[in-house]
Amino acid sequence: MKNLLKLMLAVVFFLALVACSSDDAGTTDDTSGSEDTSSEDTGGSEDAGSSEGDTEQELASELNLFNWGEYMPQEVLDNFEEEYGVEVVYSTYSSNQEMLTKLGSGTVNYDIVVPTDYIVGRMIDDDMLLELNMDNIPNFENIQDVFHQRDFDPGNVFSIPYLYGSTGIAYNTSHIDGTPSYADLWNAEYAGHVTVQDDPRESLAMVLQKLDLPMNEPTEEDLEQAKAELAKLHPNVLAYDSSPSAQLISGEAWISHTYSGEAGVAMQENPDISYTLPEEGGELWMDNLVIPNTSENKYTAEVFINYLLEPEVSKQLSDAFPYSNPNQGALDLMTEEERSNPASYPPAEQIANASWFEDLPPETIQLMNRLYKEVKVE
Amino acid sequence: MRPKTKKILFVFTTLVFMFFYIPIIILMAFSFNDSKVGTVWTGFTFKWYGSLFSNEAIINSVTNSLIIAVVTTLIATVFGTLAALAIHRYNFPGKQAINFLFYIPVVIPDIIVAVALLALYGWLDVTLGIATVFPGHVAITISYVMLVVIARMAGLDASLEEAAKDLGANEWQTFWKITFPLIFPGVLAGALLAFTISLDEFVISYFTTGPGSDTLPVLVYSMVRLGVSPEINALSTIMVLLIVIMVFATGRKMSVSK
Amino acid sequence: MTSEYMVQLKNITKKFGKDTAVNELNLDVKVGEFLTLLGPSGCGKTTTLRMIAGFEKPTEGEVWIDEKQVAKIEPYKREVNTVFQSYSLFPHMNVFENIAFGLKMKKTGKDEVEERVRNALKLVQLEDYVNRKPKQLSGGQQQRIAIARAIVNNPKVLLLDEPLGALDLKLRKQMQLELKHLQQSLGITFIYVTHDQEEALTMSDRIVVMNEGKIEQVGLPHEIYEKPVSKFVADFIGETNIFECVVSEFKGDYAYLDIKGVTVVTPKNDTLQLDESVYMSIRPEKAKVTLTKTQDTLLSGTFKEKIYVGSITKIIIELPNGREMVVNEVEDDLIGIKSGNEVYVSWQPEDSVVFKG
Repeated sequence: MKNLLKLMLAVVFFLALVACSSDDAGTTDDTSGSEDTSSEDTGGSEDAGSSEGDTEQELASELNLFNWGEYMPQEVLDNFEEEYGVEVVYSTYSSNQEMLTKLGSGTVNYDIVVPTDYIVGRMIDDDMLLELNMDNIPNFENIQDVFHQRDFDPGNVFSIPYLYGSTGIAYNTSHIDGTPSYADLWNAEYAGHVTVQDDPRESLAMVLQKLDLPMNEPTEEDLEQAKAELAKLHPNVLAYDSSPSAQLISGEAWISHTYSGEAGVAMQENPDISYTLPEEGGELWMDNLVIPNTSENKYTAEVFINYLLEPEVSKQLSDAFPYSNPNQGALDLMTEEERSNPASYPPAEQIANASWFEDLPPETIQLMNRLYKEVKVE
Repeated sequence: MRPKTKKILFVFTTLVFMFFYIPIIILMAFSFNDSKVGTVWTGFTFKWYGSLFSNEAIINSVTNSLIIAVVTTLIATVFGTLAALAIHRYNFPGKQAINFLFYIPVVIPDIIVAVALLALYGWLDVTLGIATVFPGHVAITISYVMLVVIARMAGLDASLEEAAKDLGANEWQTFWKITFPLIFPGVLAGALLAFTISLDEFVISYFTTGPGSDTLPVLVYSMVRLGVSPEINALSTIMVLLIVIMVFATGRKMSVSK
Repeated sequence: MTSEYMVQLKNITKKFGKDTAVNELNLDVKVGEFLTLLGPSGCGKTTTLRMIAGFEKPTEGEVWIDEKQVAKIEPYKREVNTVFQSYSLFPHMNVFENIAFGLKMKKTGKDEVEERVRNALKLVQLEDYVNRKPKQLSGGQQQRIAIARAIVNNPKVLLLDEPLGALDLKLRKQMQLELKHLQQSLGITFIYVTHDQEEALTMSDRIVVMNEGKIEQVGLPHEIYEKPVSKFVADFIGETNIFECVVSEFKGDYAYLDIKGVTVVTPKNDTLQLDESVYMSIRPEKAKVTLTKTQDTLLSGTFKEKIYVGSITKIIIELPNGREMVVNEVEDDLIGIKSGNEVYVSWQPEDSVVFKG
């Protein structure tokens, strides 16, 4: 009997633990509640928004940043802390879905998250984002015009471009003459030296582009056709691999359908490797800074975003990681050699020719997963 | 044993050990590789160990993981042992049910525990942080501690406790002088198990960590976009060495006490 | 004012769920006595012992130790100590720590602990083993340490629960005597539980024979053996021949009993009534077999077989009514006897015992 009591104590302790953390949650949640209403006001009327902004011009002591893993150098955070006296609490996620799940559960109070562009559209539709006060982000003008006013957020009300990249072709110049296109992956001469992204969406998008079919709104027939075409590519494939840099460096892979970032890594180690967006187009993605409505420190978040857009800071981002920088100010600080690296900065006409990934309905994604699996099994 | 059988057995054992340890050894070797790309050897260096210790994100997550593992171990060991004592020693209404309830977390997929906790926190308006990771970790590790301690108690002669009481020891003295020393190897094994499970736990942490409370596995997973960095190899090497030392130390201590 | 009794059990009953282990038992144990609870397994003797120790609480009735009702006294506060069947030495402590455990619980001074442990070890003749762990001792040595661990506390009562059960026969015999001598020299009241009737007869001042939670008989060893009051006791203690019979006639000081057609004689006794069904018991060693009829002859029968067991020879005889009877002969006079030969059995009527059920 005595130990039954102890058991009950254990349960009580457990609950107390939960209650404890829910206590601080209770208080923070109150503020976020009032924050919510104020931001709705901002959205409702411009005047109310600016007056609200005026009263809010005070930096919080802490800023909760939720970003992809290995996507922001420590020195950028340290410098901000030093300059503004705001401590940045940095957490990382590994997929848009993880970030959405956590935000959706209402258990986190992140001030800034960095979703990929079609996810931004979804978050806007679901009322998950706060409108930005552009008065606090004057550095936005540093962003190249091409990246303004994207389809999912015309007018840049909710999102600011962070870094971008592409999926195209990395190739070994000692084995491949000229600039290859997606069609060259099917070239029998390269049999056994081809790698393809190990991802249903990515690999099927590539095939759709090769077949000149719409990659963002494929019909079922389009996809079946793409599947047949991918099956034809199968004998050529060395590996379905989303990080083929090692095979590229060793010379095993001659031509790879891969991320620009992966290509950038390989190019540093092996001077024979080059990268291009194919004539079929290639695919582009961009990650964007947004402020979710869980934020309690909107002003501080805007200050931080503005800080990230400073040319020197922005350059540190693309120096540390092999992604492309949409910030003209940062580009101006780069050497000619950096700027002309085809993996990071494909020529403007190639960018214009490439397609952005857009959100797909779940049924299409499921169909792509199934078809892709079938190809791999066969 | 016939020489041929012996030979086959030797080869087989060697293969099994190679299967276990070659990946770890390769990982350790590449922590000294100059190249950032995992699989190409370009030269020997200690630089990843240097950058590991200046990488705040990794150091923070290691600290978080250790705090969570230590606190989880303490809570799970204390309450797992108490629960094991209760289940082992007393008969009370609903004992079978309670016993059963304690085992469920062992068989329930972690993902369900994780999602359930996240839903609970959402419902209770709890903000995620380090504190929200403990309940999930305690919930899964407490069952393991119980299992190990109960196994130990099953081998314990109940008359030893009676003998102590007979000789004038009260409940408290009996527990600390007799019961606890005798089940201690089980408690220690349970605690070590809880510690490693917590340190290693990914799914629950993945769903229940909040701002600034990433654990090491969660951080490592979020880094895969660029391929695992050699700093993680360096960290893994350090951890493997620490664990080997720990295992040897406890192994020795256990054999000495026997 | 000390009483004559050290332990008194007053009408105690112990139930485990629906099973009654001990049923309305009354027993007085005298100061300084060696009392044995004897009975087959499941008869409630160990449960009785555990109620005295305090490990079990009686469902009904009272346990008194040294003039005090102990219902509310926890085992660790009772002035009794137990020697367990499995010894129950603490495996993580050495011999010294095991024996000193009880004294340390009572916060005895260090020097006194040393001295008393040494004396206890001397009593069990294991002075040189202080630093051994229990695992490093033989069964007999462990048993002695268990006894030393109990007696070092100078208990008023020492409870022993089949302490010699795990030892081999020779060691058991030796330990029986040692225990008896120890009890005599210490003057402590011993309550000893066993299912071994020979052990009980050897060691006890008094024996309590138990069956199915009740006392069958309490008495001195020779009373129990020679004057069993029930079929159960007669059967359980030693070997005997029991006959179901009917009282057929009273003549002088004797009663005549009819064993299905065979008539035997036994001393008359006030409780016997004519035509009553009773049992008669005659120990094998009290009867005698002859080849010719003598004046003492009570029965005739057919010789079946001879079994030589060393000190005696067992002779098995088939009676006319089909029953078998065993007679022990110290000297084998029946040389050349063959199976089927007629033999005659005799005994002194005073050696037979009659009881009802």
